[in-house]
Amino acid sequence: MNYDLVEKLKKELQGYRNSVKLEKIGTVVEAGDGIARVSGLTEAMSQELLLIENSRGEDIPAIAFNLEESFIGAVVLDSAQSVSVGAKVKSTGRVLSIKVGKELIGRVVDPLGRPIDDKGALFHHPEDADDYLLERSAPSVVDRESVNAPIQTGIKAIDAMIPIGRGQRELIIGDRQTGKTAIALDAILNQKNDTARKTPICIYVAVGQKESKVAKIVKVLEEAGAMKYTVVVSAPASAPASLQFLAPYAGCAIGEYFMDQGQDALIVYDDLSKHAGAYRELSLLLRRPPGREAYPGDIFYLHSRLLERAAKLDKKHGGGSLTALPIIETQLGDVSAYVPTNVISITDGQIYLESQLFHQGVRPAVNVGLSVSRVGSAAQTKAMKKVAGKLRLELAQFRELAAFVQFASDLDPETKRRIERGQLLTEILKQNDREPLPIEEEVVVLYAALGGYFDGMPLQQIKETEGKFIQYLRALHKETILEPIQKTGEFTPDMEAMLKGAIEEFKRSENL
Amino acid sequence: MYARAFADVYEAAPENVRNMFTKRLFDVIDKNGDWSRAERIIREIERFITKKQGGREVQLEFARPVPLALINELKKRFRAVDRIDVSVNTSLVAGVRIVIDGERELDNSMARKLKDMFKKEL
Repeated sequence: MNYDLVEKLKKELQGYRNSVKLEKIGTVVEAGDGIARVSGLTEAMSQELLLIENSRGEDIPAIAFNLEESFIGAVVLDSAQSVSVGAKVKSTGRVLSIKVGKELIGRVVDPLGRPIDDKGALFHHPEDADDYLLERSAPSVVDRESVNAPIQTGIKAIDAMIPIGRGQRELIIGDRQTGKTAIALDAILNQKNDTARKTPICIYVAVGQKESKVAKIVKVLEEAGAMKYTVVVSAPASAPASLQFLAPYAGCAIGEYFMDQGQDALIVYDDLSKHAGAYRELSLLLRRPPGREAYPGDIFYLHSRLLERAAKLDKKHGGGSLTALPIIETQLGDVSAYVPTNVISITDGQIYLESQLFHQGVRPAVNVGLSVSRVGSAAQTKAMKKVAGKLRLELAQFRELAAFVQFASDLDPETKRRIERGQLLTEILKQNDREPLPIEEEVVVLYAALGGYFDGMPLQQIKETEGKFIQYLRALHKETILEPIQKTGEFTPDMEAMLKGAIEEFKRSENL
Repeated sequence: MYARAFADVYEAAPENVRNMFTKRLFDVIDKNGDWSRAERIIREIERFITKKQGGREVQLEFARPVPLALINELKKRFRAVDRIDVSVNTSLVAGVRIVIDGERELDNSMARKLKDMFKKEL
């Protein structure tokens, strides 16, 4: 006999206490498609964690979803194929929870909190981990305070016109291949640039994504050094619908842990359309009546109870925050579909990405006319507020005149000037992905553009000039201009005068 | 469905017509081509009738055949209306497992003890 096994048996026998007690059990009467119908367990709670014993004697976790008169509809969370009719089911008396703690930072886990990154086991010391329920009530109204600190995405168009505050829920919505994930990823990458505030812990939740995409995202985060403050929760397309359904709640529980510790957290749900699809699949398999677009009746509550957990807590409760960036994928720009309208109404604003803009080369393809942030402006830094105040207006005027661009030569000088300004500002707002800018650099670039310092410059040169301008300021005016803006978040008349001088100096040096 | 309908009617019917109901049940099963499920239907009918009479369905599982005297001794511990089913389940390794109404279990088998020893917390 295996010597190790004998030794293990001896060790286990030493501490073994045989306790026989009457346990509540049930029996699987139907199994298939990740769903098990269970008879018995008449006192099971809704969302209770059940353990189904498979033929190999292993306990397969499942959640009690449907409590019917004589059966329970349970969703199997792991290798559903091994669950067979007649299998014994035990109740646990607890709802599903996840182990959370600081050790999660830098790791990739599945929705049950199990590591999937080959970096070894988590929580060797049980005292390092807390148990957080996946389904938890959102913080109450009295425990919250208004959003008052910004979260910088490093994207000029967003930080200037659609500012996001810590504790806000800002939806990123758009068709496929419009750069939704890129914006979320930039927001994560940029957190290390925001040195004026404590770096928030970022949680990226991948729901129904290709495993190759998740691997690529993890690689990008690792290369940029962002995994030092990021946790990735992955339920890829190959994962069962049950895990895809749980992933956002697991990510949220991790975020709540850090929020309860008084820290700031940023969570990206990529994406909630696939999450809704997974829930629809489960609901139909559980024979719940389908409603609009075959979604079940509680599809709104599915997302509202998740997004309501994002909050800014008051000082008495530690002052932590959880900012949520849910992503929704639309079909052919249809924002009036069922799930997009639901999530738009739940969140505090949306960043709307348009495939037409994307194909025109406007990247990020943010439609500033349809994008809005309902609470973020209160949290915007004074410097940005001062500089970017008229940006939205100028772009709106440009949009009105955009149809006349092709007749530009026949227009009056004022209209022509507005069109040119609009084109210049559009060019300035273009930004490559994975190149988020620190807030102070955004402020100086926008100041120069809005102040008319780049006027008359050929559009093809704007990008290059912008890069040179930033390099110039980094080299010669870091301590005098960039750092004061970064540290204070203000843009005083003194700073403005200094920046004006620096711009003039730069233009002279470049013969502009 | 068969079991519930039959148990309801059978209980309410006078003694002299009960045989007729039984015959009709088998006629319906035959007509619907449900003979493959007949065993399960009969088991369910037994369960319904036992429940209606206030009894419990008790399953006694032993790891190996045990003397009849021991089984009878155990049966005496239950009421007359209880339906007791005795079977041998070698996967228990040793000991006994008692299941009442398919909902409550008293597992004193070696298999359970071994599993407890090597159990990993979820």
